[in-house]
Amino acid sequence: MASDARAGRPGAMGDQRYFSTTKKGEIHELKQELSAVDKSKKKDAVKKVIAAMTVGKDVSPLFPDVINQMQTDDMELKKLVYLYLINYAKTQPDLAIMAVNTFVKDSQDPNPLIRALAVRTMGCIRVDKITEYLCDPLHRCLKDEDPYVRKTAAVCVAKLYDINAELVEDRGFLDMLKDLIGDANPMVVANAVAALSEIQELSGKPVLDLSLATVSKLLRALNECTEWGQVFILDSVVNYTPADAKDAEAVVERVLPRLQHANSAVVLSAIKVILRNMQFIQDEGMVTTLQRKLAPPLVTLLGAEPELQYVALRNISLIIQAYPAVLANDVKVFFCKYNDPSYVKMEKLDIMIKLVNERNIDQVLLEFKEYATEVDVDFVRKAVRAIGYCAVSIPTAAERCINVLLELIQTKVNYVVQESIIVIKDIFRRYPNRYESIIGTLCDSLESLDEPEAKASMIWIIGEYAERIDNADELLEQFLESFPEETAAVQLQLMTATVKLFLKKPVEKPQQLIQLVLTYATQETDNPDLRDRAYIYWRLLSTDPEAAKDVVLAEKPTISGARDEVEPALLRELLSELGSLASVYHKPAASFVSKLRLAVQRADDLVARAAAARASGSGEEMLTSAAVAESPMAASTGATPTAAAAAAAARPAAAPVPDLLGDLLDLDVPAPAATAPAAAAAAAAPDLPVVFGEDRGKGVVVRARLAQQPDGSHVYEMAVTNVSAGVPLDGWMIQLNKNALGLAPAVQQMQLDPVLPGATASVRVPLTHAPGLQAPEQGTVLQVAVKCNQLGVLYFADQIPQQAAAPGASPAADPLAGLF
Amino acid sequence: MGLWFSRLLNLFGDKEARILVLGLDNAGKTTILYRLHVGEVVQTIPTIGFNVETVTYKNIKFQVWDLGGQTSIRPYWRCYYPNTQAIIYVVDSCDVDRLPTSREEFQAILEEEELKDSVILVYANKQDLPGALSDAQVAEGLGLTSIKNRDWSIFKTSAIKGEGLFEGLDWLSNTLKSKRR
Amino acid sequence: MFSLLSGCFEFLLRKEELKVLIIGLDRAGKTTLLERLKTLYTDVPGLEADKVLPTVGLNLAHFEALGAPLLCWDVGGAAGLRGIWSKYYGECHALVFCVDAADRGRLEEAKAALDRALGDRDLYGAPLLVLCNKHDCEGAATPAEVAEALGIGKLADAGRATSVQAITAKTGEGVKPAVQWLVEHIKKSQRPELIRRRMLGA
Repeated sequence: MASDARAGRPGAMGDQRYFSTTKKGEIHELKQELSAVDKSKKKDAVKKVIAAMTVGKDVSPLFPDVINQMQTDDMELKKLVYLYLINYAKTQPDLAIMAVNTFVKDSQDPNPLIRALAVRTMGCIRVDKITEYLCDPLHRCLKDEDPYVRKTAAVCVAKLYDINAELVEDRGFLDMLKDLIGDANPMVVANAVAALSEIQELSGKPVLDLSLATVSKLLRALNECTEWGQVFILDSVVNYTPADAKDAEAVVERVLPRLQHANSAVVLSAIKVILRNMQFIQDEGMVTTLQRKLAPPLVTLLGAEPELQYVALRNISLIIQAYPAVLANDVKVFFCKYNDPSYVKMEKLDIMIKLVNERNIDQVLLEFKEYATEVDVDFVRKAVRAIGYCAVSIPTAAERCINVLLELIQTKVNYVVQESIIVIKDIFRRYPNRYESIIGTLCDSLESLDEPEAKASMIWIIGEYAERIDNADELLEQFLESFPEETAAVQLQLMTATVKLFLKKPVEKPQQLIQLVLTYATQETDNPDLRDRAYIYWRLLSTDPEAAKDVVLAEKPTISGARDEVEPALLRELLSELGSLASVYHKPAASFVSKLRLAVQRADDLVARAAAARASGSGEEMLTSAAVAESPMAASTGATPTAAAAAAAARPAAAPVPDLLGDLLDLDVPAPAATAPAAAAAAAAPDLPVVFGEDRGKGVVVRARLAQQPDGSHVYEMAVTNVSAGVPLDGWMIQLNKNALGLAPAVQQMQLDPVLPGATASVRVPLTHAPGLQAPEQGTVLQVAVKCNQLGVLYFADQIPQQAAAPGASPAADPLAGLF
Repeated sequence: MGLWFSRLLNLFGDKEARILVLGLDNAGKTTILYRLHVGEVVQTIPTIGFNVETVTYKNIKFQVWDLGGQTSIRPYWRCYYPNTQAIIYVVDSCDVDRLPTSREEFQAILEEEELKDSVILVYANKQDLPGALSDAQVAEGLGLTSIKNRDWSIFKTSAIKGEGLFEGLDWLSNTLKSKRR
Repeated sequence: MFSLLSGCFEFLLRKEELKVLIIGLDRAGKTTLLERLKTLYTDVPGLEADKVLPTVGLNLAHFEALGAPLLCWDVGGAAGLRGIWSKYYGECHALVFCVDAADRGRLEEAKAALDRALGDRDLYGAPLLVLCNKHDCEGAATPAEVAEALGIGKLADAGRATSVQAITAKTGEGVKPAVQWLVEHIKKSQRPELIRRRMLGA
């Protein structure tokens, strides 16, 4: 047979090869090989298919052929087929069903490896249609006698939850997972915990309720687990809130030995758990002992590769911010080595800053000075800043720091000098009138300044101490020459400095200077900041120079040490994420993990909804009062254009601002009567009849009535109340069906601000007469369609009131007209 | 050496015959397969997908594919048609109501170009139950007699009792042997 | 596309197959005869007589004899299955009725079955060949005796081409003359024309 084909080929090939692309030929060939009788040939074919798959060729047409190889005793072949299945089940969701029976069978195979393989593969197949069929095998595997199968099944539940959460809950898999926490095998426990945490993250609701009993089960499994299992367990235990100090101590007791583990992830997770429980321990002595015990493992982490060091340093930085005592005596550990990578050095520097105190300042300062002479510019700058920080935060060391800085300035290395000037500015502000003697030295290096920040700092110093610098005017003049080219920061600083100079030495030269600066800043520049500040100075100086002195030369509050610290709330969150990316980024996980972000958003929505519900009560009150307040004016102008009321309705919580806004508008723009109807946002009109009730289930209540204006035109008065579940409603539009009066809205867009949940907004829709909408028969029905972006179109029928319907009704005679 | 030997075997015609077991759901296909394979009745659940086992009988190796009979799976039967020597079509002789459905599926199989050379063996299964139709009735119900261009045979079987199954295989091996030579 | 074309081509060129329906009581030797035909007229030897099983359905054989392609249908003869026979009447060119000549006791049953078949309008004009099988057995009925028992004489009078011949399917004795008779008489009969017309009419 085979030889026949080969013999027949040369003749056939002659023409046929023109008609088949190589690709099609390949798939076809593989198909042939897959249906071969010979087992080893089949296996080779499957291997070829997998090879093609891994290099990115599309071999999905072979799906049925490969799936048919699934039932085999050959473990290797089975694994290959499963691999194929994981890759292509999504592209062939219908055919994937043919694999189900094999999973069912394999999950009952006598060989636990096959059972586990089957359940693992099942979890990786993300095809909705077959997930339901896979529940039974999964159920069986969760209760398997072999721990390897159970632990694989546990992870499978988490995967299934991602595809179909409801199914997992309905089938009781969650409870089974919880049962597995008490499993005799520690690996199973670890995987069950990992799965439950995963599910908790996915769902955003607490799945794993940590009682003391659960936690002690977990901790019992801890010692026998693999290192990664330990990490999973510790990461879950960190969410446990101990009932009292005794429980907390018990947990810490069990976790402490983990600090000696070789795996840094285990160590970090253990530290995380200990720090968490430490908060609940009242015994001061014990807390101190614990803190002391944390230091050695943290120091040990720094012996690892630079990448690990970096992670450790980022975490340490968080830990010592919360618990400075932990490493208070170990600042030496963080001294930079010459061969540390730059990112490690930077981190170490940050930590040294946090650990510096009066006792170790000399040592640290020496280090910083050393660092400032290195070649890595960024590192050098940071070192200089660190010296400045030491000066500002440790008063007793300020003098020593200044000396070091002065020494550094002597080096004349451009960037060192500039950076030094920047930090010296801060030192001047921290310790006014103590170190000004060095200004002369600073002025020597004026020419070398080319960076905006350094320039701005220097200019500030000149302006601030203009009375002590004899040639301050000359110095400033030098800077002013390039005024138009400077950055905004430098320009602002120059202007202020010139004003200070002028106020301190109101002589001829400074007067010229100030004229020059202000003229330029008010006339030539496009920068509004600069221009506005120039105007303010100008008016101050021209109206009352004494007042200007009070303002510009006012005594400044002294600054204190300003190091970049993580905010306390964030710090608390990050400490519970120790050992994760969040603690490396120093950002909450939700800000960079998209799934979490969704979950957090969902939680936020809930909070917002609750807040809105709470606010709605007061909001309505406010609305009524606003309406009362505005009504006299509305009556007096004959219109109701009160933006304030509308704004108040839309933002009940932020009353003061819209009030202010309203005042401004009222003051500046007396609402012209012509624009009034269009912008009509009336006060709430609770007496309007309900035309679209809550029973319609759309989440909105519409009250409305057709009314006639004094001038005979019609308006449709509406009040919209948002009773939906937390969505602001916007994009309002309205349309009327043919009606007896032939009325149509003048504009379809309704002048309605977004209606917040629980709030009510009112609007008067001006109507015009549209001949096209004149209904042939007389009737009193008015069919209305209202649309908003969130709810779609709402239909309702209203009645045309008798008064409005009377065609010849004189506006003056209309009793209703007077009311509005 | 091994390769040479297996080629030699092929020359002697010791080739596996590929056989599909088809039929509606709950006809007893899987029970039949395992009755043939291990000789006993196994507990089965509805087959979502397929089972495949090799049954050696009278020196012929049958590679028997049992495909699920659910409506959702029937469309995929055709994936298994190529290179099939025989169809074992299983009918639940007691399920009179669905005999027309079974007939439709059966006739569709007969129409398949890829199956035009395969022989047809029908098992009128579940003969152990009261009210089971006779083989002639099942043959009539399926429209077996419309087959004029290939060998077919029908057997009364009871997979539970193991009756009639091997008689069918006897016929199958005879027919396949005489076709092959 | 190519296969479609070639299919048409084949269809146009091929000679019409002469279809022979072999019926008879169970154990008369129909399948053994069929297998013998395969052995005699094709490259593929049929099954040996001792391996033949009772037929519950349909066996068929394609072969060419005397320049004519033949298709033989061998249908099971068990009492319960005889109803199936009639489904094949309409298309067959000739009827072969196989009798176990050694089993005189069932000749009456055979006559009933044959009468019933010949009473079917679908078999109108089809030549009938009665084969007295197991001729070599001791005490087997002679063709004349069988013809007598089955009442063949009357059929011949009614204008149907009939013949009663003795064969031994197991050894093949008498099979070739029987086939020769069949081919000759089918060609002579109106039956092919009749079937073609009926097919077109339908």
